[in-house]
Amino acid sequence: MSWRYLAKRVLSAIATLAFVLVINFVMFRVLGDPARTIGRAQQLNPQEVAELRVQQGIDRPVFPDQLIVYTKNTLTGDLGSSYYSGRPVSETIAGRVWPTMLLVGTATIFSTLIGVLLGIKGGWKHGSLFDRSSLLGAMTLYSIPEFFLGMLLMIVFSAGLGWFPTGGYQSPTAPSTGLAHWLDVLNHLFLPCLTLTLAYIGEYSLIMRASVLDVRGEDFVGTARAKGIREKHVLRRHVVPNALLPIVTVSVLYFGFLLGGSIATEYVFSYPGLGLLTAKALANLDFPILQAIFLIFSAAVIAANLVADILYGYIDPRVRYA
Amino acid sequence: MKSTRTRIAAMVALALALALVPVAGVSAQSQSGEEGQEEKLTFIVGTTDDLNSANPFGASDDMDYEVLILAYDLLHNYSQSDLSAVPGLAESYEVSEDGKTWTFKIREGVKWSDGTPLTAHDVAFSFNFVWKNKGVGIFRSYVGIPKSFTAPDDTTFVWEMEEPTTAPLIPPQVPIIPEHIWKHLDGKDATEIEGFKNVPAVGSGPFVLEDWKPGEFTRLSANKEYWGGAPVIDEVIFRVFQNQEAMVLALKSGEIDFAAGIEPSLFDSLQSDPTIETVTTNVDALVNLAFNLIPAGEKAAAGAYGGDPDAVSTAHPALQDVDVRRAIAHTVDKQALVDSMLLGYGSVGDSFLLPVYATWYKPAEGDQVHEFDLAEANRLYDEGGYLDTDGDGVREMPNGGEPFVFDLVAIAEDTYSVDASKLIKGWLEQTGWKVDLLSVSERRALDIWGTSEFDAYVWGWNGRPDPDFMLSIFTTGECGVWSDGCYSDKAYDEMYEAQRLETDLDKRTEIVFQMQDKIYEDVPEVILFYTQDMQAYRKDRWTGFVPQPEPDGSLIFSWGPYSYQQITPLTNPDGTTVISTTSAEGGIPGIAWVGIAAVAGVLLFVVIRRLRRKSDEDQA
Repeated sequence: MSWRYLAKRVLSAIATLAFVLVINFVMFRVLGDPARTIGRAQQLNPQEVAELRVQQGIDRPVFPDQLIVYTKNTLTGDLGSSYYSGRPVSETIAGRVWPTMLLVGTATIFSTLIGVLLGIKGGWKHGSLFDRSSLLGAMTLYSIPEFFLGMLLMIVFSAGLGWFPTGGYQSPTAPSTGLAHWLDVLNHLFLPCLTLTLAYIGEYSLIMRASVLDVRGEDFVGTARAKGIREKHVLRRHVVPNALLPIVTVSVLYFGFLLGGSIATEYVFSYPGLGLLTAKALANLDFPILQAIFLIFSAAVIAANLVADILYGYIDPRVRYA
Repeated sequence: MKSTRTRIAAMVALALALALVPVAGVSAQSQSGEEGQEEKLTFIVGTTDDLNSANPFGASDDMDYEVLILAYDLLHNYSQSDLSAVPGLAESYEVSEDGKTWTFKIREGVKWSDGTPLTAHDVAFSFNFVWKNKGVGIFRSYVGIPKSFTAPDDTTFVWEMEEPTTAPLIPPQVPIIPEHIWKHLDGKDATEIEGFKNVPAVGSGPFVLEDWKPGEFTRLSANKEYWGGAPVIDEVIFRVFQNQEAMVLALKSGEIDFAAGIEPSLFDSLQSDPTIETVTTNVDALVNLAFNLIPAGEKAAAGAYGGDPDAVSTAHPALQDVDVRRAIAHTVDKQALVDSMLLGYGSVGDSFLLPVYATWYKPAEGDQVHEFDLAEANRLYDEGGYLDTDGDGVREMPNGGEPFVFDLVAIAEDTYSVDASKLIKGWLEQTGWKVDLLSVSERRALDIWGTSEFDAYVWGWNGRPDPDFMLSIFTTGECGVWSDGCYSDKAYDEMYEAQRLETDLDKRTEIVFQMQDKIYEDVPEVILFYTQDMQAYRKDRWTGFVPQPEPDGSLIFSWGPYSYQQITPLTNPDGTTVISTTSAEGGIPGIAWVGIAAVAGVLLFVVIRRLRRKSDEDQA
């Protein structure tokens, strides 16, 4: 891979991030002046609300004063503190990153693996009983809303069988370190992770199936067969490697969205992730938290895109010099 | 190359299998290990509200106040029976003749949770902190207009006011905070004060705030040396649920012991469960329909909080006529609201002071009661000359003026507001109004009130045991601050000042009753209903809950720590408690993990075997 290709990608990622930084700022200023909302929560009198405005810097013109302050602070890592609770934004967000990565990360890995396998088999044996039933299953899972699936699983496995807790990241009564802690975390992770995995499988297997079907009809596959290569080897050496390309794009991009969490699943299982934090911050119009979250989301997606670009350069020679 | 790939796959599969096997083994072990541990008596409360801040000055919701009341002492406590002031950290007090100087004797021998002795200096520090620090106005309304808070010695606290007061008997909900912890924040700006983490918190209440995991749980341990008697339980945990359904399932499965704030339909589903006791409690919340009383074209309410200084009210001129407001009150079927929206869990509203605080509440009598009566409403409109002259089904101002078009604002985040508004729209339209219903966010609503561009809105209030705050909302000075409809009446303002300075309880009650009469007559708003809190607990495990106030106040989430102090676990015939540490949280049995691991192991083994065979073929 050429340095030029790499440098071009990195530069465009940085430019996108800078653009996002500005958009992010403008987007929340448009929503208006939060001082009165805060004033009510804190039971402040008008004069104190005015002081609060000065203190938070929202008495100054949005452009350019506030934008300059915002950019400077963000670049130096100062994300401010929540309008609503007064806690530092970085601290508030930091606590939510790990649970979200754990949940969405494991679910993405499991669903990619299973989805890809289902898709390969279905696509290769196009029209078979397996293909038809897995297609039906995939479509069904794809169309069931996450929260409904989660609720069903909770009713059966938590309320009914009592195997798994109804939610949370960990049990407040369990030890907070050691193996017992991790078992407790696993126990809490199981149902939300299962929900998300089932919800994602459909998409992955459908993409993989379509991709295998596509590649199956290509000339080089026919050539391989003509050379007398066994069917299995045709599939594994000639079809799958080529058919994997779209899945790589999709799953790497999904890892970018991973930080966004899954609001629906986190909501059903009271899982303390970033998705829930976003929803709550939106309801409270907690600008500093929202700004920080959207910045992080965008950065993650941009980074994932960069990784996808670079990966593509490696696995698909056609892209490299494009 | 090819064989390397399959080998990696095989290794990954093997590693996964190996990882799962010990998990199963240890899981079984840890379960049996837990039984050997010393048992902690843990009471777990499920709630849909998380703590907003562990710092008292960041408190905003019920959950914050519940932790405050458990972790900190007050000067005076709210009594369990009727919320009147009873000794807290102050054992006794004396009042000067003029009612301006209050001298308190502070308990001796009380210690902070870090072992430091608590003295009157801490009390004075707390009150000064609340009074003097700008930007943390949260408890300031409790201290009135003070002259000074001082501590001449370790057990004496003196509260001097500029004017006669009964503020110390309200009682002031000012948490007594330790000077040695908070001193460095005194005089700092709000961001710094509120940014103080305060976990674990140093307090002197019956419980100690030990841990807060945002979005997960809050843990408090019992203060076994509490001056008011040690709680029986060892710890309280508030577990956060994001949805009511999961919370109720957790109560049924025994993961939690108590659930508060349950929705009516789910509450009904708990009634038949033999292990669960359901309790409906009267709480301090009302929902109202408030009118914009600023005459159209006059300056809008909000100048005080910034916003558009040139905005003018767009209120309908008919709303200036008290008979029209009365007619609208007759148009609302309050009982239907209670039945359909609250499924009967609530009561029809009349006064803006809540019946749960029985001392101050004066029910409507005679003409003050506005029965649901559309005919009467129509009669009042007709009598006032508001007729439909052009026959389009909508009334007009007398002499064919402005048509009866009504802008009704509902708060989108609040289901009560949205649902009630829809029903009210229907009723109003049967009496010749045309209603434009605007469902807006709370944030947007504040703007609309600021610019006074509405006719009425539906929202609610949470009250307080002392009526001063609720009474203040209708004073002229609150227009644009807490009063969005801007009711203004000189006689009412005077009565407000009089009750504020009245130190004789009976005389003050009389004035407060007159003020309620005044509001009944002028109808600046229609009180639709009072809500209830639905609480439920595991009666197969716990006993000893007490309502505050008697007889039907809330068991928890009220104004004191009484239930937490008094509950005891039920015991088995052999004397052991029925609560075991393992049953507190649902968990998959160790044997199930073994099963899962076994199945996974077998599957992976098969896969590996197949992969191996293939890679052999590849190389062949």
